[in-house]
Amino acid sequence: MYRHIFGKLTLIIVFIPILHIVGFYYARFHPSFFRPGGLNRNLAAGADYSYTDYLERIFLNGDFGHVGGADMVDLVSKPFFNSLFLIILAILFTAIGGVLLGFLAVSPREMHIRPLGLLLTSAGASIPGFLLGGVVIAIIVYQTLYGGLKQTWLPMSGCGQQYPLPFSSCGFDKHLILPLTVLAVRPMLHVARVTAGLLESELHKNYIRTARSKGARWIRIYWTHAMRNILAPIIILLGQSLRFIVGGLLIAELMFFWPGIGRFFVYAIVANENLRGQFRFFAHPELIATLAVLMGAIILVADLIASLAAHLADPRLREHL
Amino acid sequence: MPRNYPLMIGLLLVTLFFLVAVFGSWVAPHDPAHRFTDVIQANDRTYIPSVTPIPPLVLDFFPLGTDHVGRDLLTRLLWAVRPTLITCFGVVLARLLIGLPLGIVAGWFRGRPAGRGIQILSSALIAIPPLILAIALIALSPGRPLAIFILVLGLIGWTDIATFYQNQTEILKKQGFVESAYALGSSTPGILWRHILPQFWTTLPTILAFELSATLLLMAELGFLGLFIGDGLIVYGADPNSAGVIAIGRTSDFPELGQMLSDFTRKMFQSPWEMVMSATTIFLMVFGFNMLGDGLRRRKRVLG
Repeated sequence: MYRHIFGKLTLIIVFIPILHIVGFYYARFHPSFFRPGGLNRNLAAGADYSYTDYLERIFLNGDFGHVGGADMVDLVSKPFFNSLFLIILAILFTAIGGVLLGFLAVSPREMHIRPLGLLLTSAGASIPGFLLGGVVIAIIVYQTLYGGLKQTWLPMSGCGQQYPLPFSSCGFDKHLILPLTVLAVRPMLHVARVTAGLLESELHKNYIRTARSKGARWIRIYWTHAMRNILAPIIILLGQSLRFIVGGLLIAELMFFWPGIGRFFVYAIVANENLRGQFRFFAHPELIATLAVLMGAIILVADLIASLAAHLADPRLREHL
Repeated sequence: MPRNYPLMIGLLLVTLFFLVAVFGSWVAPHDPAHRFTDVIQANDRTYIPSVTPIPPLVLDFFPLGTDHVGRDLLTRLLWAVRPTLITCFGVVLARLLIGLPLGIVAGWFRGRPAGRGIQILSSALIAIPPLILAIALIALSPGRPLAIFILVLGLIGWTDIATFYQNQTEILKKQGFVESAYALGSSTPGILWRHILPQFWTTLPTILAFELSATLLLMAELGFLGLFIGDGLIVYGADPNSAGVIAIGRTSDFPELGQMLSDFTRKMFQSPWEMVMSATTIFLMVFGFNMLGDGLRRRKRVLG
């Protein structure tokens, strides 16, 4: 157990500097730097320095760099917490909704996945995140164009400030609904599908038959007998689905103008119509290095938490370490 | 309902999309790259497809409407299935060619340097979100040819196949027939080729179906972020506020489902139906492949 945690911590300590270096040199060797007349403004503005210079500035002056005159820490800190908040909410929705739907999809009488449950979870796990968001936006656009309403029924962009959250610039209100739909629906139904499969195979084991013949109610069989055995794989699956949530963050933030780091990431890497005058972010070495570290930190820490939780949930996993 | 209805639904959808991929360009009513500039009167409104896109079901001439630069959407959808499917098959083939040998080697030489090396590589790749890795690598290429997509998506996505076949190989290695093959004097490569590899052909279609659906979703997300196959072109139109011209959208003559999802912010207010229809097509394809994989898996369990 402790060896496992130690290994994961070492991984974090090793990977963070590697991500910083890779992010920095990714931007420095981006082809658009070398294209004549290309987007090489960062280079033209006297940004021709090496990684050691950057490290020196970080450790001697505590200066993480500037993007278009703004200090890196000021620029990134609030968006980071906005994104982190969105990710945590999405993971919560994925976990709770996925497990509940997975349990509902298995019929307690026949101990098999209901046909409808299989169909719905499979269909839901195939929906690209932006399809749902696109449909809602299309409805809102039609409603405002032809319906003659003054206000849309869901806010389409930005974030609210009504019930402010700690550290971030956003609040907890209905601005969250659309980004969360894009982020959480597909992972949630994926988790539901896998949970239903695991539960179905678990319900055919002998100890379940014993519990049934004793006369235990199905809800007790599900929650106290079967749940303990399938909890560890579900937690590991949740850790994996976080990768897709972090990937979907780019799309959700771009789609609904959520002020987070995912949008910066797209502006910094993709040079096309998504930029919309955000050229100061494009291929900026310091920004890409910082974003790579932040995103990597989210994923690595979540991985650590997931494996810890899995080991707490299932004693059998502890013996193998 | 038949017992194995996922297989039925999957086969139906996949066959449909294969037919569209093969014959779609023949039955398409228009030229996919032609921008209609005629003035059209319908339902007391005046449309010029290249300026004000026509919504679906307004004109029989454009059953699904036109896209944001005035091309027929149905034609483009019919044309777009083929390149998207070809790309996905290329990517899955690349993943298989990388993942299957590495998985077998990692499973056979588990704990030894070769196996450990492959395992470290695949766990490092698993840790990074595939979408982020894919956009970071594809954005480096200015022209974004088909080969870059196949190479990048193949190189970052082989881990699922490798992990699956690694576990299978570990199970098979303990079986009696491997030991007898050793006793009869076979070499390790001979056993892997003659006795281990043929065991995998039954699971291969299932794996391929799931990989195809995952690749399609990744392609759709890349397309949404503006990373589609081939270089784009910027379409200009008359500026309503001045005498000059402005950029209407960045698009490509070459129809492809990922490309049809791109340039989202402009399409969303001009032609939201285009985004919804292309995303629905992608969804149906992904759903078909998922159902096919599920059905194949069930069928094998039934057959034992």
